[in-house]
Amino acid sequence: MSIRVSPTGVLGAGYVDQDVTSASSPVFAVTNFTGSAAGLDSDATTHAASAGLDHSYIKDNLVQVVITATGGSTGATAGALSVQVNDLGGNAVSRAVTLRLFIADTDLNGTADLAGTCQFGAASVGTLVAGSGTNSAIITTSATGSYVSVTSNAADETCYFSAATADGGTTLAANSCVVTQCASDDATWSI
Amino acid sequence: MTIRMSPTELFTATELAFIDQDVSSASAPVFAVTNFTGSAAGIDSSAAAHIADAGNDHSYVEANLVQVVITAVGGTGGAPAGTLSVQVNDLSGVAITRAVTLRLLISDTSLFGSADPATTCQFDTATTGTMVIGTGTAEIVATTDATGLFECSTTNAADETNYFSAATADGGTAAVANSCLVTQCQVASATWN
Repeated sequence: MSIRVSPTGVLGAGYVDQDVTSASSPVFAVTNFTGSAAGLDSDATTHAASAGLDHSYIKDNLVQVVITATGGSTGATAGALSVQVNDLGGNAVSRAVTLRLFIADTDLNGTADLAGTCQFGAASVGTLVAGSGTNSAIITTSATGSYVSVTSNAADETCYFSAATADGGTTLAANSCVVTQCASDDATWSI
Repeated sequence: MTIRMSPTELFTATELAFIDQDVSSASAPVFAVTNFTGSAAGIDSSAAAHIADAGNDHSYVEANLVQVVITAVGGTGGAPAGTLSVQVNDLSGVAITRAVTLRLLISDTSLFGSADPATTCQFDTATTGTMVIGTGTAEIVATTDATGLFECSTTNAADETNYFSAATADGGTAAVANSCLVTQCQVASATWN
C-alpha cells in the first residue's frame, strides 16, 4: 500500500496498490514524499547492517562513571569512596560491571602519577577484585552499578580519583563496559 | 489519519481509504503508526520514550566516540624542534565542536604506545589548546580547543624516528563535558635528522 501526502495537501482517497489478501501480515512500504525508499532501510536486519548495531549496544556498553571521594581530617586517615556507573544518559546501569580505579597525586594524570600514600581499602558495596592497599584497583560494582569502599592516607594532601576501562578483561563478558565519561574527583586529607 | 486493515482484507486501487486526520494546514501532517489492532504497543510514542526504551540515541555515539588524526613533523639540518597537530573528529571524520581531554604518547617503537615511551623525544609548548600536564616528557594530558584541535611543538636531541598516538584519558577529565573515548587513532611518525 502506498499513501503519498504532500505537507500541504489534503488527502482524499488513499492510493492503494498492495495486495494484502494473504493470511500473513501485510507489509507496508515506507517511502519519502517522492515515493522513493532512498535512505530507508527495508527491515531491521538491513538497518543493523547499514547503520550499525542497535541502540541497546550503546546503552549496555558505554558508561559514565561518577566518583565521589571524601578525605579525612583531625587525625582520621580513613576516607570514603563512592562510585556509580551509569549509562550515557545518566541512568544507573542494571548489572554488575568491572572497571579499573586509580588514585593519582596530580589531577587528570591517572596512571602517569599514581598516589604515593593514598590507597584503596575494603569494599562495603560491590567487590574489590584486586588492589587493596594500593593506588590502582580492579573493582566490580553491585547489580545497580554501585561501588563503595573506604580509602586511607597517611599524608596531608589532596589526591585525585578516576576510572578507566579494565584492560585486564573481566570474569564474564556480561561484566564488561567501556568507560566513556569520567570526571576526576578529589579528596583532601588534613590529618 | 487512521487506516486499519486486517491481514485478509483486500484494498483495491479505487477504494477510499478511511481518513480522519485533518492535513489541510500548512504544517506537516502527523500520522500515528499503530499495529493492526490500533495499538501502539511496541512502538515508542516519542523520541524521549524511544531513548528510555531502547537505549541512548545515536548522538551519544557521535558526541563521545572520537577519531584522532595526528600529524607529526620532525626536524632536519640540526633542528631539534618538530611540530605536532592533533585533530579530534567524530567517527565520520567531522571535527567535534567542543573541547576534549585525552592522552598523547610518543614511543620509540611504532604501535607500542605507553609500553615504550620515547627516550629523548618530548612534547613542548602548546600553541592551540592546552597542555594540561607533561610538558618536557613523552606522555601528556592535553585538552583541545573548542574545535577539537591541539597543536604544540616537539623536540628531539637524537636522530631517530618516533611514533605519536592518542588514548582515552585514564585520569578522568576536569568536567564530564570534556570526556571522550578515543576509538580510532592511526599512529603517526616523525623523523629527526
